[in-house]
Amino acid sequence: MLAYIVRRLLFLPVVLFGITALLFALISTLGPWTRVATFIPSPDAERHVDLEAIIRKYHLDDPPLKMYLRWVKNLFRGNLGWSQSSHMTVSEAIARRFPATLELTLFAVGPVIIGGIFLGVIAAVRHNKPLDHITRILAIILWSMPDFVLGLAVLMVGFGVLGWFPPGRLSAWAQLAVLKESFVAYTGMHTIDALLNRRFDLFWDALRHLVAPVFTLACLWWAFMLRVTRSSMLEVLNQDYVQTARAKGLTERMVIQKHVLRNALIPVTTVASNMLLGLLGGVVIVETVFNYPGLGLLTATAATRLDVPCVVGVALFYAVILVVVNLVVDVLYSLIDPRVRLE
Amino acid sequence: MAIMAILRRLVKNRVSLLGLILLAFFAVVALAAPWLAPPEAGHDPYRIPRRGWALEPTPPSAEYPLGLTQGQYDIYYGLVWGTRTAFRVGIIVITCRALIGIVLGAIAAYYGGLWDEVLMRFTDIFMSFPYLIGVVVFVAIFGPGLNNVMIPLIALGWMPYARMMRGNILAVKQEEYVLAARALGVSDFKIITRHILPNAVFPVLIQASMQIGSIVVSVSALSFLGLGAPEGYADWGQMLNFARNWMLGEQGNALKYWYTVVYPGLAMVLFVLAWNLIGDAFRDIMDPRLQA
Amino acid sequence: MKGKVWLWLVLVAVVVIGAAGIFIWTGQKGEPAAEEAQGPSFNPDLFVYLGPGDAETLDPSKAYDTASAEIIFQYYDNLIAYKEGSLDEFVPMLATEVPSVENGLLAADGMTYTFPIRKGVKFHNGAELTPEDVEYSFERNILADPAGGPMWMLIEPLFGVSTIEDLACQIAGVDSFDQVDEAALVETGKRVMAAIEVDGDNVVFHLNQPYPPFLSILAHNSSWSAILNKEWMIANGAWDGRAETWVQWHNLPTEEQVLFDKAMGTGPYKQVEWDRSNSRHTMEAHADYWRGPAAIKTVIVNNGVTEFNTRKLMLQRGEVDAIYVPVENSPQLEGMEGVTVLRNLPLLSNVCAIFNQEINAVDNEFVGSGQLDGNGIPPDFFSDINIRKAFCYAFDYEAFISEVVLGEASVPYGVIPKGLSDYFDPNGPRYHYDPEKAAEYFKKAFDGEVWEKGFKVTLVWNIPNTTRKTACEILEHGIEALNPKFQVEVQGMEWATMLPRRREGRLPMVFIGWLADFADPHNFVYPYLHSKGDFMAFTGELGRNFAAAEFDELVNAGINETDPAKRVAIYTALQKKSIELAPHLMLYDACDRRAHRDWVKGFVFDPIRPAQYDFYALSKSLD
Repeated sequence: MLAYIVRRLLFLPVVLFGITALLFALISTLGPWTRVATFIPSPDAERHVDLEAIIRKYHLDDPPLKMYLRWVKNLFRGNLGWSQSSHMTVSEAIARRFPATLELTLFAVGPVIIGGIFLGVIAAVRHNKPLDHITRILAIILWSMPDFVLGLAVLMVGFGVLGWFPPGRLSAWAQLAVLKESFVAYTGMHTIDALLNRRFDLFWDALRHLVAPVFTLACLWWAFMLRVTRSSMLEVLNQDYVQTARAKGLTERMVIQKHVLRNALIPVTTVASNMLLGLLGGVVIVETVFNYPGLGLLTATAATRLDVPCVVGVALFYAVILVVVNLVVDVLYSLIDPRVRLE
Repeated sequence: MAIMAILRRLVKNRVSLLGLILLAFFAVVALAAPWLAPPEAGHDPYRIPRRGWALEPTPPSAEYPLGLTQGQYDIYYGLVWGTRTAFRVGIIVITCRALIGIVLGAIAAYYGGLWDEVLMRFTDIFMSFPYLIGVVVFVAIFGPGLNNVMIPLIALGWMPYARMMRGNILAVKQEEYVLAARALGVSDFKIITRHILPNAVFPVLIQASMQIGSIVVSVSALSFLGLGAPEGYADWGQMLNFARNWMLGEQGNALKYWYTVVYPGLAMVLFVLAWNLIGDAFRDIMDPRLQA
Repeated sequence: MKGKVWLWLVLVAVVVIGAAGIFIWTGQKGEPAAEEAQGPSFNPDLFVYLGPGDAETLDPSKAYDTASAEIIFQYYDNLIAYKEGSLDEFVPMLATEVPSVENGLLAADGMTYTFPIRKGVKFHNGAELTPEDVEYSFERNILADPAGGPMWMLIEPLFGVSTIEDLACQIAGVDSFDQVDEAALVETGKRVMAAIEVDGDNVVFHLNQPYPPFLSILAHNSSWSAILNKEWMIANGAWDGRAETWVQWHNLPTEEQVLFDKAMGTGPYKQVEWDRSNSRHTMEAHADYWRGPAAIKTVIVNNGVTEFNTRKLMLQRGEVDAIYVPVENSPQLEGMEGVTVLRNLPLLSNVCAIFNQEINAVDNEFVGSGQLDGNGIPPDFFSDINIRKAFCYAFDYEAFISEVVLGEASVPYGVIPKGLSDYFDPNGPRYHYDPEKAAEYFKKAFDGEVWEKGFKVTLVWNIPNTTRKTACEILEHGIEALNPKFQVEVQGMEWATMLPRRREGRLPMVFIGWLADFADPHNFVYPYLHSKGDFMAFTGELGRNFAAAEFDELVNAGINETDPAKRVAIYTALQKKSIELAPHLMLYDACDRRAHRDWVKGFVFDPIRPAQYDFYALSKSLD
């Protein structure tokens, strides 16, 4: 297994090279006059600007290979470049946005996975009964809602009507409290920092702001988890050993708990890991609606403004996360399911 | 299993029958669009006509039965022609994805060795490519518009099918009956048509067809970012996006503009629902163990 | 194996949670300060504003966007300020008097301005303001002159050129800044330092030519004329104040300037933080402010809330005090309880569609066949005045203004917007939607050929500006209704895709807006009408020659004239001519709007102020 892990990690540079080279190749088709648009925020802001000077200064007219080599050289010096769209270095931008994304992920993973599995089990156990149909149709309705429709609806009810779950990451008073020198930001994740500083009022405030985005994400993902769990459960329920267990006279509840669930959940881990990756990559629409600036918004802004260093930097970061998470999932998978062997 | 038999089973199951009816309804609407909502002469029929310039939506009336959304775009017209868009985008994207996946997966599994390794790592690289960045960069290169959005959706979506195809073929190759058939000297053609096609390709196609509905949802998310269809193009996602500023209504009258979100939303939900119901039923039918 | 894994996971989780718990309970307890724990209820000491997009930089020498100017406005003071409600009268600020010929501080030739500097003014770090700070501020900003920045506004009146590099080239007698030798660079530095001098307690500006709008360029609202703290600047690594070294700090990348993300001024608020990853500025009242400390102690400007619905709900719930409202969203605030919405505030801004008189027709997808054969337009299509006038008559201004910008605009009188109506005849001619006249002019164009054969043209708007898209469509509608052979197509384009096409002169019409830098008609007639202006750059060689022949002389006369009455006459003539010759299709004069809670008191609208709110003037109270 160690050999497997090493082999997979050795493959990481290949993935990184592949992705960044692909991105540079794509972007190089754009030409310097398109790329210079990053430096002018809007068509009406081009006043007294010498665009040629900007192109010369930032070497936007270099051949793509030269640009790529320069980028790689800087990468080895730990310099990912300057992000024009977020007004800071790319590494700083990622370092500041990632805690927000991570915090959201940490809080969303539990409800999404457990809720989804729970719903899937119910649907499978009541296969082709009304409850099965209702949960499935409900799930599909939620799933076929574009994220922004659902997000805005949740915002409207949770904040507009009830006033319980405001958008943003912290209330204004809490933002000021966090800025105080006595408050140490250990992780950039407000809930955890608040606990470490023993500020439960802040913890509560940060938590309140997480509810609505987590709920929205959960609704969007439940449908998916439900489907996978349900079909995987159905498959296992019809396996011979389950029939045998039933024949032995075990109650249906026992059968499901003892024999079905664990086996049925194996394929679910793949879906769960995909979902985890989706969350870690940033969820731009939920972030926009709930004003929760994470990696998704960073990526979207950078990409729409053609902020090349930032786009490439984020892609690189994401690829690393992806490879690592996939590796961890594979290893866990082999631990849970002895039939799977890592080769 | 013969196609007719599958169809018969689909019709017999009430849930999948509902899906079939819904799908048939959408198909009829798409085919009959020129008669249901005649386009203005000399204009691109996919361009939704504007009945004025005002931003504020107009409620349904006798003349415009589903109302006018932001910018006075005719909701009824947009929904009818948007059905064609939904089918077109969904089917093109999914067909291309499945085709690429099947071909690459088959090559990897059939030739094995170095081919397998290279193709699967290639797949890995595409899997690690951030979707959002891919879409935005593609759109920046090819320009906005529905056709150009389809390119990245295809380019960044074929990988699961390739993996699935590869896995299926490897599994089929190991099955005893295939080994036996080979040993008996059954021709390759027969092995492919009798075993590989039904056991490796069909599952991929079924899996893919279930996704047709969800493509419409993916595209609509892109219109939120301003990357989807050009403004005014008949596309459900965009119609919903028009409703974005109005769906919260006014203070004290939250439902004032309900028609801007309910009608396009309904079209989208039913479309996705139809494909999913059929897909689920299909899968149940194809899985012999579930027929007990 | 299976069981063991779960056991281990549970064990690890227990240990982690336990350790964290012990750490938390035994660690330093963070005391919530009494004033913090107030929650979201009404707080008269805190003002939260949600803006539309974040600042690009806080450096006054580089900032040239409203979001940046808005923040700089709160941190810095200027020498003078606009008098409330006026666009051409001033009050003293860091200067104790406004120069005028009457008080002797403005020389009779209009070329020397003297500002007595106020004493006892404190910077945010406690240092006292000196005349040297004022001198340094201007010299530093002028010498830094980053590409795309606003410094041309000061360089032009002081040196008669538009960039500091041009000045250096002029002194060295070469064509390119790369060729300027060391000696000429030092000489350039000296020239700049000589133009702005300290004289006792005064600071004196020596202009290159009389420049009537000079005071507007200095007034508070002009971020480029903000007064900096010399000592603090040098200590933080900015220009050291010597003529020999300025090039090291010249045209640096935005982020390498000391002031990129920091601020040290004498203004009513001092910077606490610019959280760039959340696009949020936090500022605190300056306790030693020379006009007395601000009523509102803390201000948060959050420019990261891009979704309007989110901003709207936060205002509705009273979580924030004011939000930015785009014109298309203003009806959604109607009837909201506890919220004041002010609409139709006239801005010094207008929007136009520029006629490209010499289109680059090589491989051009926007001009059809590129010929007058019914399937395209010839490159010089818009150089025919009849075509331009026909387009101007074919646009339904009233429908656009009432339905698209919801009444928040007015039909233009020419290139000078309504807000500067002192400079032109408000009863002068205007265009209005008139299909008959449009048809009449189309029939005259190209000796009737256009009417007979028809044409085809594509209008391009920049995504996501759908207001402009609708303007294109209204124009399309107006033109196509005249003659079935007229075909207008409308196409949206991302800014990055549009930029190279616009630059190469491929767009038949360029839709664009102008927001005043300073309150003077020169700031409109120059970009719109002068052959070297920003907008004439989009009209091709033919367009620029046309401008040089028709407008240049009058535009130059306007800026060189010091007699106010004569200037009014010149601008009245220019305004009228801009209607008669129709160099551009002027779409509308823009208005602005504000939305804040009723408890916000003291708001006064100022058309030239870049900031939506002057937080110093505001207070919050529930009655």
